[in-house]
Amino acid sequence: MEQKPQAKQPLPDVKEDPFPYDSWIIYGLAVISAFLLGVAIYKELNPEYIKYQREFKALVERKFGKDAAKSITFGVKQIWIPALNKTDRCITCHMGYEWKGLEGEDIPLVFRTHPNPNGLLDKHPFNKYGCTTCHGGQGFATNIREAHVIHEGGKKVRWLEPLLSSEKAKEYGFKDWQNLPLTEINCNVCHRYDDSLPGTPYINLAKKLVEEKACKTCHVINGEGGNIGPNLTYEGSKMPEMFDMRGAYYEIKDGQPVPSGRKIEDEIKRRGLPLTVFSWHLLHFEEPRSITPTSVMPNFGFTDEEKLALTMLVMSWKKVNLPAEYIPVKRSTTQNAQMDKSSSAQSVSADLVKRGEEIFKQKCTACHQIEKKLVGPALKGLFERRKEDWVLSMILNPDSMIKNDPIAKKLYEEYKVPMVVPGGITQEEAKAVVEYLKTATK
Amino acid sequence: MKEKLYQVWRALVWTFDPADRTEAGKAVTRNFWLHWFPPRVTKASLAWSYSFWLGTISAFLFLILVVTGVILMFLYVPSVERAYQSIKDLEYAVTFGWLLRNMHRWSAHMMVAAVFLHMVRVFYTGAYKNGMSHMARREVNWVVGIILLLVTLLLSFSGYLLPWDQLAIWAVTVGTQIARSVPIIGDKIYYVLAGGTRLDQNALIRFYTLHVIFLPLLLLILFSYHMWRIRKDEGLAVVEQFNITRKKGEAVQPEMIFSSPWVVRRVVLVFMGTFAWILFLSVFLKSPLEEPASLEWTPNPAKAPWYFLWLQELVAITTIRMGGITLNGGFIGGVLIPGILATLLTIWAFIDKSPAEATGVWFHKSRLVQNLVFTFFVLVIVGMIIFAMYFRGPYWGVYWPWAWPELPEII
Repeated sequence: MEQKPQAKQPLPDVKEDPFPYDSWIIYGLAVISAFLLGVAIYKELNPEYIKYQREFKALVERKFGKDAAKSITFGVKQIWIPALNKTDRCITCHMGYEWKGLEGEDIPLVFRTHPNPNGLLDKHPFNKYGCTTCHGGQGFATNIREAHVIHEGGKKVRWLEPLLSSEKAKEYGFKDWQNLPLTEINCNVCHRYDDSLPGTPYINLAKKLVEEKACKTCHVINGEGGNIGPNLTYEGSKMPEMFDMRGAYYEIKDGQPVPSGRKIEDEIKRRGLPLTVFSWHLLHFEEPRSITPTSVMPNFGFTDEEKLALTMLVMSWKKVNLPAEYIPVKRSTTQNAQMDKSSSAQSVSADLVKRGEEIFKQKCTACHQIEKKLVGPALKGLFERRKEDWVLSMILNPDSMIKNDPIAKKLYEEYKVPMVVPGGITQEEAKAVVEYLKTATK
Repeated sequence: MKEKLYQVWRALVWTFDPADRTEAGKAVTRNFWLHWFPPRVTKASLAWSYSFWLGTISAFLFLILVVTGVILMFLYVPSVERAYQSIKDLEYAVTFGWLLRNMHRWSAHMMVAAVFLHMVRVFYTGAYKNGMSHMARREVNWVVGIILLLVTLLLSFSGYLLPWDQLAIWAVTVGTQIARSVPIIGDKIYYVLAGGTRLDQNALIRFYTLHVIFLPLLLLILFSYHMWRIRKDEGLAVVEQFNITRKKGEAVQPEMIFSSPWVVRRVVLVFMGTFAWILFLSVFLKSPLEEPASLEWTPNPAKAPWYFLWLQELVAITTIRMGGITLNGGFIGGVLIPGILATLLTIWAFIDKSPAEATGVWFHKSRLVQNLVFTFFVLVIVGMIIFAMYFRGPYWGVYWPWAWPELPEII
């Protein structure tokens, strides 16, 4: 690149093309670009969902005539609910969800009218809840693989909420898998404080078990409970990355956990379960020490159904921001009512024993039984060994007893778990428990 | 009428087919867009095999980025509540949204690569040298070029956060934690970058403003100066070869060609090639978008953007625990080693004392040793990037790319 042309040696005017191929390359590139733009336009105009929309229009035309079909337009359809931060485009393909007359078995599932079991939809209208609030899946997506969160051939769909489909339920061995039992998880995201709820048999069963087995003795649930075990208030928001699937799986031999030589993930696969957090919970409920050998959580001998129910319950404990209008009206306050009733009629000794039994079942049975040694010692013949005062102090101030009392110290060394009364206990309540124990441990 | 229209066209644009030398000169100097070209150019400096046109390719990638970026600004909301959602909308609902996003993303990746390769080319051809010229100060343009490379990296890095997904927030976490390991002022640097003690709305708006205004403007100013310097330095370094042979007494006259239309046409060609390549990538390859950003859980593994992966790998290698002593890999691998390399690279144009003959030729034998050392570093860096990208799996363990362990799902 010369700045000044040298006057002495005039440069030849290059008239002929110095780069004879350039023009041809440009034409070639123009053709290639035009072709690529054509491909882009084709992709834009023919999304995956358009096939379904055409099919649906044809279906409506067959069933209801041309006029009815006219109302159907093509393009992305969505239910937008700013309050829940939801944009559900499921209805782009599932176009028949609100139509009347498409309920029949002859209608393909994708177009079928959404059923309304027990008036569920009257309380949960589409325009307030959308689709993914109950069903899970990716509402944004407009293709099957990503909307239904289907991981295929090692290609992962990166989305937090799986579609709670019947196929998934079948994999875990639900007997009633056709009824989408897994969606109960999402019912309980909002209904977590309800004691029971019609249409959610698994969650109801699990909640009954939580009361019966007094899980709150060791675990914080819904913000209250003991701290021997991990806090479970937001257990459902724990991501797969937080579970060590490659840890050793233990088998219980002669009451002691022994390494099985398999990893947790191997055990999950050996049982034909999918490698998921859900499966991890199933194994853990079956025998906690098979996953964490040092765990003090007892094996409660849950049935398969109970394991499924409890797993669904813990996975429903998600961290969500619910606008006030979505918080369900509390249904049952029986427990509170009972407590009020009994406190007014406490003087009768038989009542005191009965009340003591209630409190004992609620707060103590997770660790203590009368006949059997569990996390804590068996209580048979308690008052032959200890004085009443000692028992009362142990219930009221276990910490200082363990520190100062020689018997309590020895017991702690033996059992390795400090005694904790979940949710605390009043003097009156402790006395009731002692009265009950006097009769029960004879 | 037709004649009038043609005159208007000529007045506004340029003479595509000048009749003589005067007209060829005017075609360039009178046109706003072309006036930064000289009227005539040495043909040798336009050869594919000399420059591979990597600088021009970088500039055109920047142009595609600006155009797609401005359109994306109409569609993207830089807030932690809406950012992720607006990217999802681009992917699924906005007309040609997917194409826009793909083109912007691929152009950005390609620009990092093109600018880096441009620097490699300049090093191998000794193009930061001045040859026989007394006017040229090409080493200044070398330094400007290094800064342009850094600005390109920062532009790409700041754009990485904007989708506000797990990939974004954790890649930027890795990057900003490396910056944090600078001694004494590390925490301050992090605080300035993130606008707080963790990556949140403040970080997003800072990265966004850097990405759409500050850094592009800085790049544009530096780029203009970079171009202007080429004119002042009497063209590409390959021109020096003619000056050298002339000095030896050989009456070699470089072949000169008119900028209009031959250079302009070749520039158009390079643009179209770049555009077609980006379009090809964008039509057929999907851009990743992971789960919405959350600092509560870390994807396994969490990786920095690919061009910083060699730093992450260095950090991983140099973090050594011996008994109770922990060697701070963040500082050694993330700050010290790349800092020394960048400084050496910047001042290399002033250190290189090879003869004038080595200016503007590929792999001159007098520069053999420094070329080998440079190649060694380039290969190590590229090797570490490839290794960290394809062979580092969960828990930063080493796996074959086709044998990654299966990671658990939720349900």
